Amino acid sequence: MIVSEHLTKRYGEKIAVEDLSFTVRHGAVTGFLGPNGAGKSTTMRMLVGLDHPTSGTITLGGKVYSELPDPLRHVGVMLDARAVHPARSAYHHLLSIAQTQGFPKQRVNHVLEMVGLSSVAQKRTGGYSLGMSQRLGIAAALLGDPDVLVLDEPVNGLDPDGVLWLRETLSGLAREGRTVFLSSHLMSELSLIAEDLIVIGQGKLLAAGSVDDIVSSVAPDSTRVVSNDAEKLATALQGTHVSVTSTGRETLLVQGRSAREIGAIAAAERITLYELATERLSLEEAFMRITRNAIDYGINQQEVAA
Amino acid sequence: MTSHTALASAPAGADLGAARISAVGMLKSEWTKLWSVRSLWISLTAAFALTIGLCSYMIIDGQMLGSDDGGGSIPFGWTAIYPIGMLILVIHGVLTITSEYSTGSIRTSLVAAPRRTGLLLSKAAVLTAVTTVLGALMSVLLYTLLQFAGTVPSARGMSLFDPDMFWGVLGGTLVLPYGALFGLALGGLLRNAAAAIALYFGVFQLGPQIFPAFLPDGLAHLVDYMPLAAIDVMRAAGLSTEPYGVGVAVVVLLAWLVMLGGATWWLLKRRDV
Repeated sequence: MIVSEHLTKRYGEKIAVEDLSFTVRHGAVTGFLGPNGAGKSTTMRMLVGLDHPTSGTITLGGKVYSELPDPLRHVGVMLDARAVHPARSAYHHLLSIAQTQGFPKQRVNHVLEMVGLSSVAQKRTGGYSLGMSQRLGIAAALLGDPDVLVLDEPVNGLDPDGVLWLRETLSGLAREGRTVFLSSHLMSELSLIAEDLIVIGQGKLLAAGSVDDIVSSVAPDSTRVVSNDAEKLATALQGTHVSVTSTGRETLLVQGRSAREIGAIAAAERITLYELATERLSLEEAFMRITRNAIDYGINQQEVAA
Repeated sequence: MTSHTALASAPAGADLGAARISAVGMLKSEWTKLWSVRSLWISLTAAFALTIGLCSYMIIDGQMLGSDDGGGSIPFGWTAIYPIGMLILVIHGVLTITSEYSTGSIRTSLVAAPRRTGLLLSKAAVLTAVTTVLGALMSVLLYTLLQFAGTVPSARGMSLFDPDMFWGVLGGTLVLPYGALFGLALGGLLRNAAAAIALYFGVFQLGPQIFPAFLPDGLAHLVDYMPLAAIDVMRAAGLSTEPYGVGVAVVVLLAWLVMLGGATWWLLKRRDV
């Protein structure tokens, strides 16, 4: 379980992460979502001890990463797939990592095979495509057979084949009961694999919870109704927690009543319905709505400062 | 060991056992890193190949550096070339750590060794071991060549372990690991190869000639306590006691290394990567 408590990181005047608290459930795939520059990478770097928090803590199972005697057995990390010496072969790159923790050489060959790089393992990584580098990054993360995988933007720059491969690999790892914590600025990509979401913007927590909860919290399902007497229907639909807006002479947008309820009420009032459609917010729209507020806020702040 | 047929679905958990970070593991890892990057082992072998080549030429030719001031009569005179090898090893030392920063692989290294101290210590240990062993082999080789060539009268028939020979050869040989460690400390301090090499040449190589012009007369002798001056005293192995003896020279050299290495370690612990 990853727990962040009041995590804050400042670079001089600039605040990268501000009072960020969240929990990543054990054994679930959690997406870490935010626009570019929201503080996702900084948070992940603090998780594995590369950056020191200005204040607050981020821990794994109650321990700070750098205090673990066998960190790679617990956490597999891919922060930047290109963080490899380009003149070193994939095999030696992985071997040098494996040796620090005393993993046998067979383990290196095993992870190379898992990610399908065995045939190019002796080649310099400088000649690798981005997709191959991502595979090597995943291999390095898997070396210690860890319970927790932390992946920063693993889909970035991958071609469709690579995206599919990664999605299948991560799903497989999640099915084995591993905790997967992956960041992305693409909600649609995360929604295909993540159960939980942590959304941040401007370094602050914007939303956390299951994918469904977050989407419906931003905007409840709304229903579009086209009828012969919109005015009468609007009156009939009134109730607590119900909002009805008129978008045209015959058209209403209703929130807080299901299509089934609307149909029944219309029938009781003898109103003819021409169209009745539930409109669900797409994940990307939900994400945009959550982050837009944070971004607007940030822009206003900058204007005030200037 | 593990079944390779079961791919991503069956990770090999059993064969990892009680694996954990260890000093031996860190040393093995640094050894692998050193020999798996061509530019690193080339700069290392170039340092020794060039030194051996130049020394051999000198020995066979019978010419000794500084023979005008009686250098030709110094049994271990060929070690006067060693500082050239040291220069390349300074650069090699710089590269072993700055190449990790420039490629970003330092993040991979520090995720695997999050306490960080072990990374610096194991790099230093592997560099010291490799350059000391290669330096010792080189010195034995050149001593043997000297005996065969017989071009230096004072060294003829002299045992390698004769005090007149041994301390000079030892002093010269130790210059090599010293340069590599010095480079490692500078590289770790600045995290950038160009900056570290520029600092080395600007301050430590050329500084002793430049600084006295800017220092008040009373302080000009301070440049005698810079590393290269102390190295010259150490290499002379007692033949020259200007401006101080070998013992002081060794203390000066160690002090520089502890100071620079300590600063590098302290910053490595504190800085974000």
